[in-house]
Amino acid sequence: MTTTRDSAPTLLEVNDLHARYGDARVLHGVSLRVAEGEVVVLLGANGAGKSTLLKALSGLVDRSGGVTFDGADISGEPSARIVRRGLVLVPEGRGTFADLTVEENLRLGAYPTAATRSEVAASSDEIMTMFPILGERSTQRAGLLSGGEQQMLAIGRALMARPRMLLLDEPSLGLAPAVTKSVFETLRTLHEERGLSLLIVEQNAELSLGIADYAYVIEAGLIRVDGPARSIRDNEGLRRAYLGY
Amino acid sequence: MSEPTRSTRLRPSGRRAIGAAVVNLIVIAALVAIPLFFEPFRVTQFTQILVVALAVMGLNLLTGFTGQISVGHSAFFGFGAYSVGVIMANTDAPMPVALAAGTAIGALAGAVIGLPSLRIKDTSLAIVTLVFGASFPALVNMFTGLTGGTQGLRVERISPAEDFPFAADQTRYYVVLCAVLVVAACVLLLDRSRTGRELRALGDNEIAAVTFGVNAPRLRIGVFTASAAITALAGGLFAVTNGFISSGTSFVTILGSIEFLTALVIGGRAILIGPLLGAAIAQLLPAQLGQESPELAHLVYGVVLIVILLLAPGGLTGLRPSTWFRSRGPELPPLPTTAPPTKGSTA
Amino acid sequence: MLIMQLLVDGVGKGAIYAALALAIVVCHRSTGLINFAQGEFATLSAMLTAVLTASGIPVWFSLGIAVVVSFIGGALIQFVVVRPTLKRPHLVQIMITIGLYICANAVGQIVFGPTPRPLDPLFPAGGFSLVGIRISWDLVGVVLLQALVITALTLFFSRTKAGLGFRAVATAPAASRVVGIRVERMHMVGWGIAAALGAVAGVSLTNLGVYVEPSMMTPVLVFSLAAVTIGGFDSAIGAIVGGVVMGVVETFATSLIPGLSGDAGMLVSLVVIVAILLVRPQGIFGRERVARV
Ligand SMILES: Nc1ncnc2c1ncn2[C@@H]1O[C@H](COP(=O)(O)OP(=O)(O)O)[C@@H](O)[C@H]1O
Ligand SMILES: [Mg+2]
Repeated sequence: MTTTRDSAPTLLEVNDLHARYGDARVLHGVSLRVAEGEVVVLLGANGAGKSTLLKALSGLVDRSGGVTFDGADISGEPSARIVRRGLVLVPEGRGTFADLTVEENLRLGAYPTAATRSEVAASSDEIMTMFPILGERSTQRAGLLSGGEQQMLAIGRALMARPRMLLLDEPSLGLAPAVTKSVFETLRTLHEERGLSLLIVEQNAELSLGIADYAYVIEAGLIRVDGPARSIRDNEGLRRAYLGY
Repeated sequence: MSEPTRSTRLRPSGRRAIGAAVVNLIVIAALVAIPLFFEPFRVTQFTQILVVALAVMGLNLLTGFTGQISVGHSAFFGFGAYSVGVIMANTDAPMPVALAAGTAIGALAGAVIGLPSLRIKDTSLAIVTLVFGASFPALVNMFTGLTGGTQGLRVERISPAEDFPFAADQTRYYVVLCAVLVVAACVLLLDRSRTGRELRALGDNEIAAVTFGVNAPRLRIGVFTASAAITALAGGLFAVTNGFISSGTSFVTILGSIEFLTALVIGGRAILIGPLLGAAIAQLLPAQLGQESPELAHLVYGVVLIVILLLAPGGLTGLRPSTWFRSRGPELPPLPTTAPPTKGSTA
Repeated sequence: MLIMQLLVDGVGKGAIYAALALAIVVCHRSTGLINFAQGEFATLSAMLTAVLTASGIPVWFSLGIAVVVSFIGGALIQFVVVRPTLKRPHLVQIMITIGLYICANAVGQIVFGPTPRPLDPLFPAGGFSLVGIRISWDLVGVVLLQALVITALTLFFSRTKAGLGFRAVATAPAASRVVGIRVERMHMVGWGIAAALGAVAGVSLTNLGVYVEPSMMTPVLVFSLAAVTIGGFDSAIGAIVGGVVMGVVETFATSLIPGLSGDAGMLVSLVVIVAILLVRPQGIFGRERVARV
C-alpha cells in the first residue's frame, strides 16, 4: 500500500527487547519499528513469543530493552501510563469483563485516561454507533456476547482510550471465517478513517498480510525475517518455511 | 522464588537422607536424655511441649499431606481430653483403655467432620473447622454435669508404681515421648508408602490424582480421621499429664487451634523435628516473654508467624543454609494471563 | 408474639453480622482471601472509638475518625503483609490472616487492656412498643445505620469510576491490567474499605449492649463467617441476607432450644454452614466459579 515506510515518522520503535516469565526467558532481543499510520503484522508459530511481545510493549510482563513510543521512552512505564499515551492492547482471547455490562466494559477502556464523565459517555456513544450490535446489547453482560461481538467489544474498549496505535493479539482466533472478515474490515476502516497505526499478531497470515504494509516473522523469541507485506506474501520459500501455507 | 511443593519435600535422597537420619537420631537421643538433666518443673514444661508437638503432628497429617487447613483441631484435642477425663471420672476403666477410647472418639469426630470435607475444601473448610473449634467450649459448657464446664474437671494423672525407676514427672514425660515417637514412625512409614504418595498427589491436584486411580473420598476421610485421632490422643495425654481440664483451657479453645497451626507453620513440615521445634517455640516464647506480659508474648508470636510466612515459607525446618546464599533474582510482577474464553462462564 | 419479639431482636443482631460479613465479602472480592482477622480489626476500631470518646470527642465524631483510621490501617496492612503473599499458595495466605488475628488481638490487649468498657451510645435511650413488641431506639438505629452504610457502598460500587474499577479487578484482574487499572492499588482500597466497614460493625455492636473488650468480636466473626458462607463469598446481597438469617436463627435457637444458650448458638451456625456447603458450595447468592489455578 504505502511505500513511504522509511520516510514516515516512527511511532513505535523496539530495540533489543527481552522478556521473561519468572525464570523462563521468552524474548531474546526483539527489534522492530512501526511508522505513523502504518499497519504491521507480526507472524509466527504457536509459542514463538508473539503475545509476550505485545504484553511486553504494554508493560504487562517483566521486560528490559528499549521501547520508544511517540518519541518517549516507555520501556519502564506501568501499563496505565502506556495506555494513556495511546498504545493500547486488544488481548488474545478478547479479555473482556464477562461479568460486567457491555457499556461498563467500554467505560473501563477509558479508565486510566483523564476523560471526564461526559467525555467518556460521548466516546461510548460514538463506539456504539460504530458497532451497532454493542449499542443494542449495551446493558447485557459481556459474557453473553458471541465471539465476534466480544472481539468488537474488545476493539471498541481499546478505542475508548483514544489510542494512536492498537496492538491486536490474534483478533481472528476462534472466529468463523465470515466474522473474521468483518473484524478485518473494521480494522481496515479504523486505519483508513482514523489513521490508527496497527500492530497485528496473526496466525491467519494470508488475511493479515492482505491489509498490512509491513511484516515481521518471529521465531523462538527472535525476529527472523522482515519485509514489506507484499514481498513476504509473494515469496513462496518464506511462506513455506515460516508461515506454513 | 520457588515454593517447596508437597511432592518434593520429605524425600531427601542420598547424602541428605543420611544427614536427616543423623539429625533425627541426635534429636531423639536428646529427647530421651532431657528428663535426666532438668528439674521437675522443666520436665513438666517439656512434657507439655511434647503434647503440643503430638497435636501438631496430627494437624501436619492433614495440612502437610493434603494442603487443607483445619482451624478446629483444638476441638479434636478437646474430644480426646474430655473423653479420657469423663471416662476416668465415671468408670473404673484403666488409663490405657481411657486413652484408647479418647483416641477412638476423636477419630470418630474426625470422620464426622471429614465427611463434609469431601466436598468442602480450602477456605470453606477453614471456616467450617473454625466454627467447629470455636463452638467446642460452648459444647463443654452445655454438659456441665459431666464436664465441669468452666469450673473444670480433675483427671487422675499418670503416676508410677513405687518401685519404678523414674519420678512422676519423668514417667509422664516418657509416656508422651513414646506416643510422639510411635506416631512419628507411623507418619514416616505412611509418607514412604503408596498411600502417602497418593495423598500428596491428591493435595497437589485432585483431578489428576483421581484420573490416576486415587480413591479420593476414602483417602480424604481417612486422613482426616487419622489426623483427628492423633490430636485427640494428644488431648488425652494432656488430661492425664496435666490433671485438670476446663472449657477455658486454651488448648481446647480456638486459641489452641491457632497455636497448633502456628507451630506447624513455624516448625515446617519435617515429620518429627518440625512439630517439635514449632511446639517448643510456641510454648517457650510466650512463657519466656510472658513473665513480662502474656499479651506481649502473643504479639511476638503473631509477628514471628507472619515473618516466617513471608520470609521462610517452608518453616524453620525448611530453611537450608544452601538456599540462603543463592541469589534469587528480582521478584517479577504478577503474570498477566489473559482471561479464559468467556463462553458459558456467566451461566 | 414471642416469635415477633425474637424476630426483631434477631434482625438487630443480624444487622451486625451482616455488617462484618459485608466487610469480609469486600475483602474477599478484592484479594480472593477470607480475612480471619476482620473481626479483630473491628475490635481495634471500636477500641479506638472508645479511647477517643473517653478523651471528650463526641461519639459520632470518634466513629468517623475511627472509620478513616481503619481504612488507612487496613490498606497499609494489605500493602505490607498481604500483598507479598498474593502469588503464594492459598494456605499461606490464610495463615497470614490468622497471624494478623493473633497480632490484632494482642495489640488490643496491650493498648486497651482486658477490662471491658462501655461506649457512649450512638442513639437515644429508650424505645417504643409496637403491638406488644418492644423495640429500642438502639436497635432501630443500628439497623438504619447498617442500611445507610450498605446503600452508600452499593452506590459507590455501581455509580463511581473507582467502584467500577473495583468490580473489574474483582472479576477479571488480568483484563483489568490490560485496560490500565492499578490492580494492586485496588487490592489496598478493598482492604481499606473492609476495615472501615468493620469499624462501623464493631461500634454498632456496642449499641446492642456489648462492652468494648479484646474478644468482643469473636462470636460475631463466627456468625459473620457463617453468613458469608450462606450468602456466597463474593455476594454483598448474600452477606446481608446471610447475616440477618444467622441473627434470627441464633436468636430463635438459643431462646427456644432448651440447654442451648450463649455461645452454644455457634453450634447452630456450624450445622447451618455445613448444610449449606453440602447443598450449594458456592453459597445461595454465589455464582459457580471456575477453579482458581
Ligand atoms: N504466563 C506464562 N508463564 C510462563 N510461560 C509463559 C506464559 N505465557 C507464555 N509463556 C511461554 O512463553 C512462550 C511464548 O508464549 P506466547 O508469547 O504466548 O506465544 P505466542 O503468542 O507466540 O503463541 C511459550 O513458550 C509459552 O509457553
Ligand atoms: Mg499468543
